[in-house]
Amino acid sequence: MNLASLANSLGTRLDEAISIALAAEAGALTDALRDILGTAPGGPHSHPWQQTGTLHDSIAADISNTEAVIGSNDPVAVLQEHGTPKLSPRPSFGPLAAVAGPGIAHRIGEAAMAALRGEH
Amino acid sequence: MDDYLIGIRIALDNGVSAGLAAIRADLAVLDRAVSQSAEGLRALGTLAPPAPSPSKPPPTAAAAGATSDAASTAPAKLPSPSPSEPPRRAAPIIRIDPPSSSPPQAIIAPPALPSAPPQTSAVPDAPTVAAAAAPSADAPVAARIPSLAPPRAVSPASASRPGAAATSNAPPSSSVTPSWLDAPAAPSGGAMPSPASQPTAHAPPPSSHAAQPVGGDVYLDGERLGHWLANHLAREANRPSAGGTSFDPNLGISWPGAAQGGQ
Repeated sequence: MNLASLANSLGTRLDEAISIALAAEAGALTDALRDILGTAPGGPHSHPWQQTGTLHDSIAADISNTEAVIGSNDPVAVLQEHGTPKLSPRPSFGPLAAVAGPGIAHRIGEAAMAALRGEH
Repeated sequence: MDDYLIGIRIALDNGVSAGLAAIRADLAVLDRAVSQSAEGLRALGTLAPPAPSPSKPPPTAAAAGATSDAASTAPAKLPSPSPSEPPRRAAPIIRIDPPSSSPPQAIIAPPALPSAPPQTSAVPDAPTVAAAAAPSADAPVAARIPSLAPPRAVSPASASRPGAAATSNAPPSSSVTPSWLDAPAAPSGGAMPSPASQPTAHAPPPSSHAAQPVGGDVYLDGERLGHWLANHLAREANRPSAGGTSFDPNLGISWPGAAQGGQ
């Protein structure tokens, strides 16, 4: 194997590893967000209580090679996140992103290094 | 992200893959160069003669005999000194290079100071008028040392002449008179003799080493260790003293109230 082929295979392996790690992290983040929005009434009210389950079910994720988005199209999610004049904010996305962000970056980086070392 | 009203976005910046893509063309060129070099090495290997095999064929009987003869005549190894004999080491060689024309004892004899009184008046080679010229500072030491001065051609008549005795450094007459002074006396009465009849006293011709320094180098094992220069030492010893002969109060700090400068 010549150097050009080695570089090609190395780049392909790295892209695959990053994509897999990103998908795994996005899935874990989606599950964590659904757990937060599934708080039953009477529980900690720092998060929204689950009433009908519409907000819980609206959580979805779109994953590409180097980008992943976990979000919701439910307008109630925005009202709960930012609050209203009559409703105090009960954020879910922001605190979860702040807490889980460094761990996500560390784990994806470890996966990339393992791919470069050939441990994939 | 645009599909959601609210959400979390994870965006990665994969610079490694971009870097690999950037050097991919260079790596292809390098691969071609390596392959060409490998081809050249293979072609060179085909042109070079095969290397001899390390295993030697068994020697024949004649070759074995020749080998045994050679082993019997030639020493197996270089002779080494016996264990009881200590290893020899070249002793250091000290070499002193004196000038070719100056005797080495010139550095042993102390130079005579100008103020030194004459030894005796019976010195046969006392300097005369012609030889009494003050030796220059560059003159060799031997010329200024009476004991080392070369013999001078001194005429007995000139040595006994009163005029010559008055202007020369020769000591006055003494009770000891050398036999060579028994020569015919100079004409008395104060009349100057004619130049033809006057015995002449002349200084010896300058030696060949007059302008050469009386000195040399000291070598040890080929390394120059030092330099000795006798005429320099003699000149320093013969020079007039530059210091005072009595206590100079101006040289030191005087106490308050002390008289200074004879006032």
